[in-house]
Amino acid sequence: MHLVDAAHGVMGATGVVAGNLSLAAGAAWAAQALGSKNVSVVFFGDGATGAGAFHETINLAVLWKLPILFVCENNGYAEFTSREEHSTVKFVRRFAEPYEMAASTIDGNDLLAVYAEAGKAIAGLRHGDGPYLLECMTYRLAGHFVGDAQRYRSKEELAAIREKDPIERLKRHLLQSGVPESDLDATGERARRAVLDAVERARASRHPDPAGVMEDVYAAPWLNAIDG
Amino acid sequence: MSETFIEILRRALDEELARDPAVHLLGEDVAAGGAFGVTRGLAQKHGAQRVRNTPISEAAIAGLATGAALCGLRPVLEIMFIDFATLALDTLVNQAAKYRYMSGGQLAVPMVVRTQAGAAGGAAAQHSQSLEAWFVHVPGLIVIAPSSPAEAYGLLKSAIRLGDPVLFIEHKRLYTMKEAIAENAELPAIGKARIARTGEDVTLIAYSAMVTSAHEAAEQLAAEGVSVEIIDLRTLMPLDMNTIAASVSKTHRAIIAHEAVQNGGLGAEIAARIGDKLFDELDAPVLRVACPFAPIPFALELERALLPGAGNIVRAIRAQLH
Repeated sequence: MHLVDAAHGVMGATGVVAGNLSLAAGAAWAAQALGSKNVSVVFFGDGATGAGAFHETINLAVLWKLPILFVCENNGYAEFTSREEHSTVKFVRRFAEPYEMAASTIDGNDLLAVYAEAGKAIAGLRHGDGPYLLECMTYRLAGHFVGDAQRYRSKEELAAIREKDPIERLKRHLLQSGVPESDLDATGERARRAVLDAVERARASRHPDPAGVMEDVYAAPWLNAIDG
Repeated sequence: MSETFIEILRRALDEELARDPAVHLLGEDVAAGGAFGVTRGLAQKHGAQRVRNTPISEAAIAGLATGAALCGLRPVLEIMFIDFATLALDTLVNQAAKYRYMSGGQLAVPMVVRTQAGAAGGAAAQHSQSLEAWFVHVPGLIVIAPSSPAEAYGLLKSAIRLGDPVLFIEHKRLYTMKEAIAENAELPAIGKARIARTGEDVTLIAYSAMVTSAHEAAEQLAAEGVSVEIIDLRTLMPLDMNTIAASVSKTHRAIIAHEAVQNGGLGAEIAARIGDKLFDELDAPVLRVACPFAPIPFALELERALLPGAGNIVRAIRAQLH
């Protein structure tokens, strides 16, 4: 959950729903203030729209014309509860309207549509057009957490949605476009291998040294391991 | 030249804005000078992009400052009253305080949150609290509470340069206090307390506006032949236990005075540490002077009745000595 790869611009994921939105706006503000071409892209679910921080952040982002792309994965469920039970507002895009923020709702399981729409939005951010909300309608193929028994939805509902798996859809599209199946299989195998290798590497890696448990509480080294 | 607490804060911010282009001020009304006039004129001098007004959205602006700090700015965020920091707690406690640790040291949050706390003039229950103990309880945060204009000047500059998230708590009762600062003085180290008055009979540990009450109490007791040593903590997290230990080892008595309520307050922590480390040095139980366990009332006579002051400290020290 808390992955950070700052060197590649992956600035982190938070365990608090909606807690990442204002941080991402801050990253966009830094880019704006420092005059860089960086943009900020933040991902969240439809459940995050129930938090005040979502609305506060949108207002600020529009007001300051921040280069931030809000990507909402509207997957119909916030944890175990369906969208209908969370809000009368069906589409998250609607929340952009009073703030006059540019927004669109697309089929989030259509990789090519997401690619095209996100590309356009990011070009707009770099052009100084202000923030953009991209609502990607999708469905959660897995549970909310590892081992989620998913009693809150039926097997039929899940089976129907597997048909819309974005990877399978892309595959069908590429086959129709004349890409040989063997190429796709090879690509799939390479990806599978990369993931398995990463898992293998992680399992084989040394566990952290307990002696380092007090490191990095503070940036100033003398503050670490002090007695409170 | 004597300057008020407010003028000296403004001077420190002005100089830091001029020194480091990464420093940015943000908060409700800061471009207009802020609720107390601390930032007056700074937007005109340093530009509207460096001193920015925000909507009344504490959760979002605390996150904005944190995210910007992660990405190269050194934001100084003003939360108008510490009472309103409650609205920004997710960001301060879950995000800003943890980011260094959770990123395995890849990122840091060089941010100062200036806020204003304490009771004065009937500001009542939602604009008067002393909530510092909450923040002292969170690993990753630094908490500073200056006791005078000159102290605030140096500590604010040190806080801005530190590189970790700092909660900088200003007491509204100190805002009109005047003091001159020594030109070109060295900036104070974070985490170092100050002996505000030397004495022999009892160590009185205080911070923020309570240091003023401590001086008044010490003056009264001096007339009775009691010599009080005052420690001004300056930094509440980390606590400078070395300075406390050296003093208590000399006086063999300790009293902690703060405006926050006693229950779960910083005084309890300091008393526990003195008990742990200096038990054999003590000639009397450690005492605390603090606010009774009630909200701050609106009516001035009730506010006066509730708030601890020099009188409470004098009575506590007399009790401890006899």
